[in-house]
Amino acid sequence: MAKGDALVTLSQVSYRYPGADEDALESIDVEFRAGEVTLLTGALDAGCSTLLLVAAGLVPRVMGGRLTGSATILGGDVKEEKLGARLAGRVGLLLPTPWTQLSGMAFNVRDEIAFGPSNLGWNKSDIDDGVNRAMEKLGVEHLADRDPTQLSGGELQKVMMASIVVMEPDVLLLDEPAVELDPPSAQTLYDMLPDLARDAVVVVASTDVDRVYRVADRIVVMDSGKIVANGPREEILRKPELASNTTTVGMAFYRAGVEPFPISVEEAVERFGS
Amino acid sequence: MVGYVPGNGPLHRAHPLTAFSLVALIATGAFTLPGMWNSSLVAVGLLLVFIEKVPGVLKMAIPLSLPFWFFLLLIHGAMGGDWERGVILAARITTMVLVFLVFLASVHPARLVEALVARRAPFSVAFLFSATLQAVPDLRGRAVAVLEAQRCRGLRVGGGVVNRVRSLVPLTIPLVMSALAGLDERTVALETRGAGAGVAKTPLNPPSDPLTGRVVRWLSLTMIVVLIWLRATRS
Repeated sequence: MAKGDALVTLSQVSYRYPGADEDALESIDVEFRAGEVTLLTGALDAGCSTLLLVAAGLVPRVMGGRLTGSATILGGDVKEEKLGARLAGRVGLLLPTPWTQLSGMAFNVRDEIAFGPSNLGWNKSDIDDGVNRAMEKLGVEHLADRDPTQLSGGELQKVMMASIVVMEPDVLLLDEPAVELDPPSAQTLYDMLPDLARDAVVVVASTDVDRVYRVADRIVVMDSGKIVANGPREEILRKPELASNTTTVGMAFYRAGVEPFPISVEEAVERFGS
Repeated sequence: MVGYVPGNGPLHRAHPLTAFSLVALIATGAFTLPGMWNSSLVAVGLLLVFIEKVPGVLKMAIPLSLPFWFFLLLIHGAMGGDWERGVILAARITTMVLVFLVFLASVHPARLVEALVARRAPFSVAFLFSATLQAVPDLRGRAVAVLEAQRCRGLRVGGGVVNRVRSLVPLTIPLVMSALAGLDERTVALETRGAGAGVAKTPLNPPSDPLTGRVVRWLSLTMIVVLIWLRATRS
Protein backbone atom coordinates (compact mmCIF):
# COMPACT_ATOMS: atom_id res chain seq x y z
CA MET A 1 0.00 0.00 0.00
CA ALA A 2 1.40 3.37 -0.95
CA LYS A 3 0.86 6.36 1.24
CA GLY A 4 -2.13 8.34 -0.04
CA ASP A 5 -3.89 5.38 -1.68
CA ALA A 6 -7.63 5.40 -1.01
CA LEU A 7 -8.21 2.02 0.63
CA VAL A 8 -11.82 2.66 1.60
CA THR A 9 -14.13 4.59 -0.72
CA LEU A 10 -17.77 5.21 0.03
CA SER A 11 -19.88 6.97 -2.53
CA GLN A 12 -23.49 8.01 -1.87
CA VAL A 13 -23.79 5.25 0.73
CA SER A 14 -27.02 4.98 2.69
CA TYR A 15 -27.69 2.19 5.13
CA ARG A 16 -30.68 1.04 7.11
CA TYR A 17 -30.44 -1.60 9.87
CA PRO A 18 -32.80 -4.57 9.62
CA GLY A 19 -36.20 -3.66 11.03
CA ALA A 20 -35.34 0.04 11.37
CA ASP A 21 -37.70 2.76 10.13
CA GLU A 22 -35.04 5.18 9.00
CA ASP A 23 -31.54 5.20 7.58
CA ALA A 24 -28.62 5.12 9.99
CA LEU A 25 -26.40 6.58 7.26
CA GLU A 26 -27.48 8.93 4.52
CA SER A 27 -25.61 9.74 1.30
CA ILE A 28 -22.13 9.25 2.71
CA ASP A 29 -19.24 10.28 0.49
CA VAL A 30 -15.84 9.72 2.04
CA GLU A 31 -12.43 8.26 1.33
CA PHE A 32 -9.98 6.91 3.87
CA ARG A 33 -6.37 7.01 2.68
CA ALA A 34 -3.28 5.02 3.64
CA GLY A 35 -0.94 6.99 5.87
CA GLU A 36 -3.71 9.05 7.47
CA VAL A 37 -5.25 8.97 10.91
CA THR A 38 -8.85 10.12 10.66
CA LEU A 39 -10.92 11.16 13.65
CA LEU A 40 -14.59 10.42 13.15
CA THR A 41 -16.65 12.37 15.63
CA GLY A 42 -20.13 13.63 16.34
CA ALA A 43 -22.85 13.47 18.93
CA LEU A 44 -24.18 10.14 20.13
CA ASP A 45 -26.30 8.46 17.45
CA ALA A 46 -24.52 10.45 14.74
CA GLY A 47 -23.70 7.25 12.83
CA CYS A 48 -19.94 7.00 13.49
CA SER A 49 -20.07 3.36 14.64
CA THR A 50 -22.28 2.39 11.72
CA LEU A 51 -19.86 4.04 9.31
CA LEU A 52 -17.08 1.91 10.78
CA LEU A 53 -19.16 -1.23 10.20
CA VAL A 54 -19.54 -0.24 6.54
CA ALA A 55 -15.84 0.52 6.24
CA ALA A 56 -15.09 -2.89 7.74
CA GLY A 57 -17.12 -4.57 4.99
CA LEU A 58 -19.59 -6.02 7.49
CA VAL A 59 -22.59 -4.24 6.06
CA PRO A 60 -24.80 -5.70 4.74
CA ARG A 61 -22.92 -9.03 4.47
CA VAL A 62 -22.87 -9.79 8.22
CA MET A 63 -25.21 -7.25 9.78
CA GLY A 64 -28.01 -7.54 7.22
CA GLY A 65 -30.11 -4.48 6.39
CA ARG A 66 -30.21 -2.46 3.17
CA LEU A 67 -27.25 -0.63 1.72
CA THR A 68 -27.43 1.61 -1.31
CA GLY A 69 -24.64 3.45 -3.10
CA SER A 70 -21.16 2.15 -3.68
CA ALA A 71 -18.64 1.04 -1.05
CA THR A 72 -15.23 -0.32 -1.99
CA ILE A 73 -12.85 -1.70 0.60
CA LEU A 74 -9.36 -2.72 -0.44
CA GLY A 75 -10.60 -3.04 -3.99
CA GLY A 76 -13.59 -5.23 -3.12
CA ASP A 77 -17.24 -4.24 -3.37
CA VAL A 78 -19.14 -4.62 -0.07
CA LYS A 79 -21.88 -6.47 -1.88
CA GLU A 80 -19.44 -9.22 -2.97
CA GLU A 81 -20.28 -12.55 -1.37
CA LYS A 82 -16.63 -13.59 -1.03
CA LEU A 83 -15.57 -10.30 0.52
CA GLY A 84 -15.09 -11.94 3.96
CA ALA A 85 -12.25 -14.14 2.76
CA ARG A 86 -10.67 -11.26 0.83
CA LEU A 87 -10.69 -8.91 3.83
CA ALA A 88 -9.78 -11.50 6.49
CA GLY A 89 -6.93 -10.09 8.54
CA ARG A 90 -6.67 -6.99 6.34
CA VAL A 91 -9.38 -5.02 8.13
CA GLY A 92 -9.30 -4.78 11.91
CA LEU A 93 -12.21 -3.44 13.94
CA LEU A 94 -12.04 -2.71 17.65
CA LEU A 95 -15.41 -2.30 19.35
CA PRO A 96 -15.95 -0.22 22.51
CA THR A 97 -17.08 -3.33 24.39
CA PRO A 98 -13.95 -5.49 24.61
CA TRP A 99 -15.66 -8.26 26.59
CA THR A 100 -17.91 -9.08 23.63
CA GLN A 101 -14.88 -9.44 21.37
CA LEU A 102 -13.29 -12.31 23.21
CA SER A 103 -12.89 -15.25 20.87
CA GLY A 104 -14.21 -17.72 23.41
CA MET A 105 -11.56 -20.10 22.10
CA ALA A 106 -8.52 -18.92 24.02
CA PHE A 107 -7.85 -19.46 27.65
CA ASN A 108 -4.94 -17.13 28.19
CA VAL A 109 -4.08 -13.69 26.83
CA ARG A 110 -1.27 -14.96 24.60
CA ASP A 111 -3.64 -17.36 22.81
CA GLU A 112 -6.34 -14.67 22.62
CA ILE A 113 -3.96 -12.38 20.75
CA ALA A 114 -2.81 -15.30 18.60
CA PHE A 115 -6.42 -16.14 17.66
CA GLY A 116 -6.49 -13.92 14.54
CA PRO A 117 -3.13 -14.98 13.09
CA SER A 118 -3.92 -18.64 13.73
CA ASN A 119 -7.22 -18.23 11.87
CA LEU A 120 -5.25 -16.75 9.00
CA GLY A 121 -3.05 -19.84 8.89
CA TRP A 122 0.21 -18.09 9.85
CA ASN A 123 2.97 -20.49 10.81
CA LYS A 124 3.69 -20.93 14.50
CA SER A 125 6.93 -18.93 14.64
CA ASP A 126 5.35 -15.96 12.81
CA ILE A 127 2.45 -16.11 15.26
CA ASP A 128 4.80 -16.13 18.26
CA ASP A 129 6.83 -13.22 16.90
CA GLY A 130 3.72 -11.22 16.04
CA VAL A 131 2.12 -11.85 19.42
CA ASN A 132 5.30 -10.80 21.24
CA ARG A 133 5.50 -7.59 19.20
CA ALA A 134 1.83 -6.76 19.75
CA MET A 135 2.02 -7.44 23.49
CA GLU A 136 5.11 -5.24 23.79
CA LYS A 137 3.50 -2.46 21.76
CA LEU A 138 0.41 -2.43 23.99
CA GLY A 139 2.35 -3.09 27.20
CA VAL A 140 0.47 -6.26 28.11
CA GLU A 141 3.37 -8.75 28.35
CA HIS A 142 2.69 -9.19 32.07
CA LEU A 143 -0.83 -10.43 31.27
CA ALA A 144 0.32 -13.16 28.86
CA ASP A 145 -0.70 -16.11 31.03
CA ARG A 146 -3.84 -14.58 32.53
CA ASP A 147 -7.34 -15.79 31.70
CA PRO A 148 -8.76 -13.06 29.42
CA THR A 149 -12.19 -13.36 31.02
CA GLN A 150 -10.70 -12.34 34.37
CA LEU A 151 -9.09 -9.07 33.22
CA SER A 152 -10.25 -5.58 34.14
CA GLY A 153 -12.01 -3.52 31.45
CA GLY A 154 -8.87 -1.47 30.76
CA GLU A 155 -6.60 -4.49 30.58
CA LEU A 156 -9.02 -6.24 28.29
CA GLN A 157 -9.28 -3.24 25.99
CA LYS A 158 -5.50 -3.20 25.57
CA VAL A 159 -5.48 -6.96 24.94
CA MET A 160 -8.19 -6.63 22.31
CA MET A 161 -6.26 -3.80 20.65
CA ALA A 162 -3.21 -6.08 20.60
CA SER A 163 -5.42 -8.81 19.09
CA ILE A 164 -6.20 -6.52 16.17
CA VAL A 165 -2.76 -4.90 15.82
CA VAL A 166 -1.07 -8.32 15.67
CA MET A 167 -2.62 -8.95 12.24
CA GLU A 168 -1.07 -5.72 10.91
CA PRO A 169 -4.26 -4.80 9.06
CA ASP A 170 -4.29 -2.40 6.11
CA VAL A 171 -7.44 -0.80 7.50
CA LEU A 172 -7.63 -0.26 11.26
CA LEU A 173 -11.00 0.90 12.56
CA LEU A 174 -11.27 1.83 16.22
CA ASP A 175 -14.59 2.57 17.89
CA GLU A 176 -13.99 4.47 21.15
CA PRO A 177 -10.78 2.49 21.69
CA ALA A 178 -9.95 4.13 25.01
CA VAL A 179 -13.33 4.17 26.69
CA GLU A 180 -12.16 1.67 29.34
CA LEU A 181 -8.68 3.15 29.76
CA ASP A 182 -7.26 5.54 32.33
CA PRO A 183 -6.11 8.91 30.87
CA PRO A 184 -2.37 8.09 30.58
CA SER A 185 -3.09 4.72 28.94
CA ALA A 186 -5.56 6.39 26.58
CA GLN A 187 -2.94 8.93 25.54
CA THR A 188 -0.35 6.16 25.04
CA LEU A 189 -2.80 4.31 22.81
CA TYR A 190 -3.57 7.39 20.73
CA ASP A 191 0.12 8.25 20.45
CA MET A 192 0.84 4.96 18.70
CA LEU A 193 -1.74 5.60 15.96
CA PRO A 194 0.50 7.60 13.56
CA ASP A 195 2.98 4.71 13.62
CA LEU A 196 0.21 2.19 12.88
CA ALA A 197 -0.99 4.42 10.04
CA ARG A 198 2.39 4.49 8.31
CA ASP A 199 1.12 2.27 5.46
CA ALA A 200 -2.45 1.80 6.57
CA VAL A 201 -5.75 3.55 7.08
CA VAL A 202 -6.53 4.34 10.71
CA VAL A 203 -9.99 5.63 11.56
CA VAL A 204 -10.90 6.42 15.17
CA ALA A 205 -14.53 7.02 16.08
CA SER A 206 -14.44 8.99 19.30
CA THR A 207 -15.97 11.86 21.20
CA ASP A 208 -12.63 12.33 22.98
CA VAL A 209 -11.59 15.12 20.62
CA ASP A 210 -9.21 16.63 23.19
CA ARG A 211 -6.91 13.65 23.06
CA VAL A 212 -7.35 12.28 19.55
CA TYR A 213 -7.05 15.50 17.57
CA ARG A 214 -3.33 15.77 18.28
CA VAL A 215 -2.64 12.59 16.28
CA ALA A 216 -5.37 13.01 13.64
CA ASP A 217 -4.52 14.23 10.15
CA ARG A 218 -8.14 14.59 9.16
CA ILE A 219 -11.42 15.03 11.01
CA VAL A 220 -14.82 13.89 9.78
CA VAL A 221 -17.80 15.28 11.68
CA MET A 222 -21.10 13.43 11.55
CA ASP A 223 -24.61 14.36 12.58
CA SER A 224 -27.81 12.31 12.24
CA GLY A 225 -26.23 9.83 9.84
CA LYS A 226 -24.69 12.45 7.58
CA ILE A 227 -21.20 13.84 7.16
CA VAL A 228 -21.37 17.54 7.95
CA ALA A 229 -17.67 18.32 7.67
CA ASN A 230 -14.57 16.58 6.40
CA GLY A 231 -11.16 18.17 6.22
CA PRO A 232 -7.72 18.71 7.72
CA ARG A 233 -7.64 18.80 11.50
CA GLU A 234 -6.85 22.48 11.99
CA GLU A 235 -9.44 23.61 9.49
CA ILE A 236 -12.28 21.63 11.08
CA LEU A 237 -11.44 22.41 14.70
CA ARG A 238 -11.26 26.17 14.08
CA LYS A 239 -14.56 26.54 12.24
CA PRO A 240 -17.00 28.52 14.42
CA GLU A 241 -19.99 26.67 12.95
CA LEU A 242 -18.45 23.38 14.14
CA ALA A 243 -17.58 24.68 17.60
CA SER A 244 -19.66 22.00 19.29
CA ASN A 245 -17.20 19.44 17.90
CA THR A 246 -13.96 21.23 18.69
CA THR A 247 -11.74 20.79 21.74
CA THR A 248 -12.86 21.75 25.24
CA VAL A 249 -10.48 24.72 25.18
CA GLY A 250 -11.74 25.77 21.75
CA MET A 251 -15.35 25.52 22.85
CA ALA A 252 -14.70 27.58 26.00
CA PHE A 253 -13.04 30.41 24.09
CA TYR A 254 -15.71 30.27 21.38
CA ARG A 255 -18.43 30.66 24.00
CA ALA A 256 -16.49 33.54 25.51
CA GLY A 257 -16.70 35.22 22.14
CA VAL A 258 -13.03 34.89 21.20
CA GLU A 259 -12.49 34.53 17.44
CA PRO A 260 -10.42 33.03 16.06
CA PHE A 261 -10.37 30.79 19.12
CA PRO A 262 -7.36 28.78 20.30
CA ILE A 263 -7.86 24.99 20.39
CA SER A 264 -5.27 23.97 22.96
CA VAL A 265 -4.03 25.15 26.35
CA GLU A 266 -0.56 25.72 24.87
CA GLU A 267 -1.97 27.95 22.14
CA ALA A 268 -4.16 29.85 24.62
CA VAL A 269 -1.21 30.48 26.94
CA GLU A 270 0.88 31.67 24.01
CA ARG A 271 -1.80 34.10 22.90
CA PHE A 272 -3.16 35.32 26.21
CA GLY A 273 -0.53 34.45 28.81
CA SER A 274 1.35 37.29 30.37
CA MET B 1 -20.73 -25.02 38.73
CA VAL B 2 -18.41 -27.73 37.42
CA GLY B 3 -15.62 -26.55 35.20
CA TYR B 4 -12.10 -27.73 34.60
CA VAL B 5 -10.31 -28.87 37.74
CA PRO B 6 -6.52 -29.15 37.43
CA GLY B 7 -5.30 -32.68 38.07
CA ASN B 8 -3.13 -35.53 36.91
CA GLY B 9 -5.57 -38.41 36.43
CA PRO B 10 -5.62 -40.58 33.29
CA LEU B 11 -8.36 -38.49 31.66
CA HIS B 12 -6.52 -35.28 32.53
CA ARG B 13 -3.38 -36.60 30.83
CA ALA B 14 -5.10 -38.26 27.88
CA HIS B 15 -5.55 -36.62 24.50
CA PRO B 16 -8.94 -34.84 24.75
CA LEU B 17 -10.44 -36.89 21.94
CA THR B 18 -9.31 -40.09 23.65
CA ALA B 19 -10.93 -38.92 26.88
CA PHE B 20 -14.06 -38.06 24.92
CA SER B 21 -14.16 -41.47 23.25
CA LEU B 22 -13.91 -43.23 26.64
CA VAL B 23 -16.68 -41.11 28.09
CA ALA B 24 -18.79 -41.72 25.00
CA LEU B 25 -18.17 -45.47 25.35
CA ILE B 26 -19.41 -45.51 28.94
CA ALA B 27 -22.45 -43.39 28.04
CA THR B 28 -23.23 -45.65 25.08
CA GLY B 29 -22.86 -48.69 27.34
CA ALA B 30 -25.35 -47.19 29.77
CA PHE B 31 -27.91 -46.95 27.00
CA THR B 32 -27.24 -50.19 25.16
CA LEU B 33 -26.24 -52.84 27.72
CA PRO B 34 -29.09 -55.04 28.86
CA GLY B 35 -30.79 -55.07 32.27
CA MET B 36 -28.87 -54.31 35.40
CA TRP B 37 -25.54 -54.35 33.53
CA ASN B 38 -25.97 -50.74 32.64
CA SER B 39 -26.76 -49.82 36.25
CA SER B 40 -23.31 -51.03 37.22
CA LEU B 41 -21.83 -48.34 34.99
CA VAL B 42 -22.84 -45.81 37.65
CA ALA B 43 -20.05 -47.39 39.69
CA VAL B 44 -17.66 -46.83 36.77
CA GLY B 45 -18.68 -43.20 36.72
CA LEU B 46 -18.12 -42.91 40.47
CA LEU B 47 -14.76 -44.64 40.09
CA LEU B 48 -13.76 -42.03 37.50
CA VAL B 49 -14.71 -39.26 39.94
CA PHE B 50 -12.26 -40.66 42.48
CA ILE B 51 -9.50 -41.58 40.01
CA GLU B 52 -9.58 -38.09 38.51
CA LYS B 53 -9.93 -36.54 41.98
CA VAL B 54 -12.85 -34.33 40.99
CA PRO B 55 -15.27 -34.80 43.92
CA GLY B 56 -16.93 -31.47 43.05
CA VAL B 57 -18.62 -33.37 40.23
CA LEU B 58 -20.81 -35.15 42.79
CA LYS B 59 -22.16 -31.85 44.10
CA MET B 60 -23.51 -31.18 40.64
CA ALA B 61 -24.38 -34.74 39.61
CA ILE B 62 -26.50 -35.56 42.66
CA PRO B 63 -28.98 -32.66 42.40
CA LEU B 64 -29.16 -33.20 38.65
CA SER B 65 -29.90 -36.91 38.99
CA LEU B 66 -32.18 -36.95 42.01
CA PRO B 67 -35.30 -35.65 40.22
CA PHE B 68 -34.93 -38.44 37.64
CA TRP B 69 -34.68 -41.07 40.38
CA PHE B 70 -37.73 -39.64 42.11
CA PHE B 71 -39.98 -39.44 39.06
CA LEU B 72 -38.80 -42.66 37.37
CA LEU B 73 -39.25 -44.68 40.56
CA LEU B 74 -42.60 -43.02 41.13
CA ILE B 75 -43.84 -43.73 37.61
CA HIS B 76 -42.31 -47.18 36.96
CA GLY B 77 -42.10 -48.44 40.54
CA ALA B 78 -44.83 -47.01 42.74
CA MET B 79 -47.36 -46.58 39.93
CA GLY B 80 -46.31 -49.29 37.45
CA GLY B 81 -44.95 -51.90 39.82
CA ASP B 82 -41.73 -52.31 37.79
CA TRP B 83 -39.11 -51.05 40.25
CA GLU B 84 -36.26 -52.66 38.31
CA ARG B 85 -37.09 -50.66 35.18
CA GLY B 86 -37.19 -47.45 37.20
CA VAL B 87 -33.76 -48.16 38.66
CA ILE B 88 -32.31 -49.06 35.24
CA LEU B 89 -33.58 -45.88 33.59
CA ALA B 90 -32.49 -43.62 36.46
CA ALA B 91 -29.06 -45.27 36.62
CA ARG B 92 -28.67 -44.79 32.90
CA ILE B 93 -29.23 -41.04 33.23
CA THR B 94 -27.01 -40.81 36.32
CA THR B 95 -24.17 -42.51 34.43
CA MET B 96 -24.53 -40.06 31.54
CA VAL B 97 -24.52 -37.07 33.87
CA LEU B 98 -21.58 -38.37 35.89
CA VAL B 99 -19.27 -39.17 32.99
CA PHE B 100 -20.09 -35.96 31.15
CA LEU B 101 -19.31 -33.89 34.23
CA VAL B 102 -16.11 -35.86 34.85
CA PHE B 103 -15.13 -35.10 31.27
CA LEU B 104 -15.78 -31.36 31.76
CA ALA B 105 -13.75 -31.39 34.98
CA SER B 106 -10.85 -33.35 33.47
CA VAL B 107 -10.38 -31.85 30.02
CA HIS B 108 -9.54 -28.17 29.71
CA PRO B 109 -11.72 -26.65 26.96
CA ALA B 110 -8.61 -25.07 25.41
CA ARG B 111 -7.03 -28.50 24.97
CA LEU B 112 -10.19 -29.85 23.40
CA VAL B 113 -10.35 -26.97 20.94
CA GLU B 114 -6.65 -27.35 20.14
CA ALA B 115 -7.17 -31.08 19.58
CA LEU B 116 -9.99 -30.35 17.14
CA VAL B 117 -7.96 -27.68 15.35
CA ALA B 118 -4.99 -30.03 15.08
CA ARG B 119 -7.35 -32.58 13.50
CA ARG B 120 -8.22 -29.93 10.88
CA ALA B 121 -11.78 -29.69 12.16
CA PRO B 122 -13.60 -26.74 10.53
CA PHE B 123 -13.57 -23.49 12.51
CA SER B 124 -17.32 -23.74 13.04
CA VAL B 125 -17.01 -27.16 14.72
CA ALA B 126 -14.21 -26.03 17.05
CA PHE B 127 -16.15 -22.87 17.88
CA LEU B 128 -19.32 -24.83 18.53
CA PHE B 129 -17.53 -27.01 21.09
CA SER B 130 -15.85 -24.07 22.75
CA ALA B 131 -18.96 -21.88 22.82
CA THR B 132 -21.04 -24.74 24.24
CA LEU B 133 -18.54 -25.38 27.02
CA GLN B 134 -18.51 -21.70 27.91
CA ALA B 135 -22.17 -20.88 27.39
CA VAL B 136 -23.26 -21.74 30.92
CA PRO B 137 -20.60 -19.68 32.76
CA ASP B 138 -21.20 -16.81 30.33
CA LEU B 139 -24.96 -16.80 30.87
CA ARG B 140 -24.46 -17.17 34.60
CA GLY B 141 -22.24 -14.07 34.65
CA ARG B 142 -24.78 -12.11 32.64
CA ALA B 143 -27.62 -13.27 34.92
CA VAL B 144 -25.73 -12.07 38.01
CA ALA B 145 -25.10 -8.67 36.37
CA VAL B 146 -28.76 -8.31 35.35
CA LEU B 147 -29.93 -9.35 38.81
CA GLU B 148 -27.67 -6.81 40.51
CA ALA B 149 -28.70 -4.04 38.11
CA GLN B 150 -32.41 -4.73 38.59
CA ARG B 151 -32.00 -4.89 42.38
CA CYS B 152 -30.28 -1.49 42.28
CA ARG B 153 -33.38 -0.20 40.51
CA GLY B 154 -35.67 -1.50 43.23
CA LEU B 155 -36.68 -4.95 41.94
CA ARG B 156 -37.59 -7.30 44.79
CA VAL B 157 -36.73 -10.88 43.84
CA GLY B 158 -37.52 -12.57 47.18
CA GLY B 159 -40.83 -13.13 48.94
CA GLY B 160 -43.63 -15.47 47.98
CA VAL B 161 -44.01 -17.61 44.88
CA VAL B 162 -46.11 -15.00 43.07
CA ASN B 163 -43.53 -12.29 43.63
CA ARG B 164 -40.70 -14.59 42.51
CA VAL B 165 -42.56 -15.51 39.31
CA ARG B 166 -43.38 -11.84 38.69
CA SER B 167 -39.72 -10.85 39.04
CA LEU B 168 -38.72 -13.35 36.36
CA VAL B 169 -39.87 -11.09 33.52
CA PRO B 170 -37.59 -8.11 34.30
CA LEU B 171 -34.75 -10.57 34.78
CA THR B 172 -35.28 -12.80 31.77
CA ILE B 173 -35.87 -10.17 29.09
CA PRO B 174 -32.64 -8.19 29.72
CA LEU B 175 -30.74 -11.47 30.02
CA VAL B 176 -31.96 -12.73 26.65
CA MET B 177 -31.58 -9.34 24.98
CA SER B 178 -28.03 -8.85 26.26
CA ALA B 179 -27.09 -12.37 25.20
CA LEU B 180 -28.42 -11.68 21.69
CA ALA B 181 -26.66 -8.29 21.48
CA GLY B 182 -23.45 -9.92 22.70
CA LEU B 183 -23.84 -12.56 20.01
CA ASP B 184 -24.10 -9.87 17.32
CA GLU B 185 -20.95 -8.16 18.53
CA ARG B 186 -19.08 -11.43 18.85
CA THR B 187 -20.00 -12.28 15.26
CA VAL B 188 -18.56 -8.94 14.14
CA ALA B 189 -15.43 -9.49 16.23
CA LEU B 190 -14.85 -13.01 14.93
CA GLU B 191 -15.39 -11.89 11.36
CA THR B 192 -12.70 -9.20 11.66
CA ARG B 193 -10.30 -11.61 13.34
CA GLY B 194 -10.00 -13.96 10.43
CA ALA B 195 -12.76 -16.42 11.33
CA GLY B 196 -14.04 -16.33 7.76
CA ALA B 197 -10.60 -16.58 6.17
CA GLY B 198 -11.38 -19.98 4.70
CA VAL B 199 -7.89 -21.34 5.45
CA ALA B 200 -6.88 -24.06 7.88
CA LYS B 201 -6.42 -22.64 11.38
CA THR B 202 -2.94 -23.08 12.84
CA PRO B 203 -3.01 -25.08 16.09
CA LEU B 204 -1.22 -23.14 18.81
CA ASN B 205 -0.53 -25.83 21.42
CA PRO B 206 -1.67 -29.16 19.96
CA PRO B 207 -1.91 -31.83 22.68
CA SER B 208 0.35 -34.87 22.27
CA ASP B 209 -1.37 -37.91 20.85
CA PRO B 210 0.64 -41.05 21.69
CA LEU B 211 0.03 -44.39 20.01
CA THR B 212 -1.56 -45.96 23.09
CA GLY B 213 -4.12 -43.15 23.21
CA ARG B 214 -4.94 -43.60 19.55
CA VAL B 215 -5.38 -47.36 20.04
CA VAL B 216 -7.68 -46.75 23.02
CA ARG B 217 -9.65 -44.27 20.93
CA TRP B 218 -10.13 -46.65 18.03
CA LEU B 219 -11.03 -49.51 20.37
CA SER B 220 -13.58 -47.29 22.08
CA LEU B 221 -15.10 -46.22 18.79
CA THR B 222 -15.25 -49.83 17.60
CA MET B 223 -16.93 -50.89 20.84
CA ILE B 224 -19.43 -48.05 20.52
CA VAL B 225 -20.37 -49.24 17.04
CA VAL B 226 -20.62 -52.86 18.24
CA LEU B 227 -22.78 -51.89 21.23
CA ILE B 228 -25.14 -49.89 19.04
CA TRP B 229 -25.29 -52.72 16.49
CA LEU B 230 -26.00 -55.30 19.22
CA ARG B 231 -28.72 -53.12 20.64
CA ALA B 232 -30.27 -52.59 17.21
CA THR B 233 -30.28 -56.30 16.35
CA ARG B 234 -31.59 -57.26 19.80
CA SER B 235 -34.68 -55.13 19.44
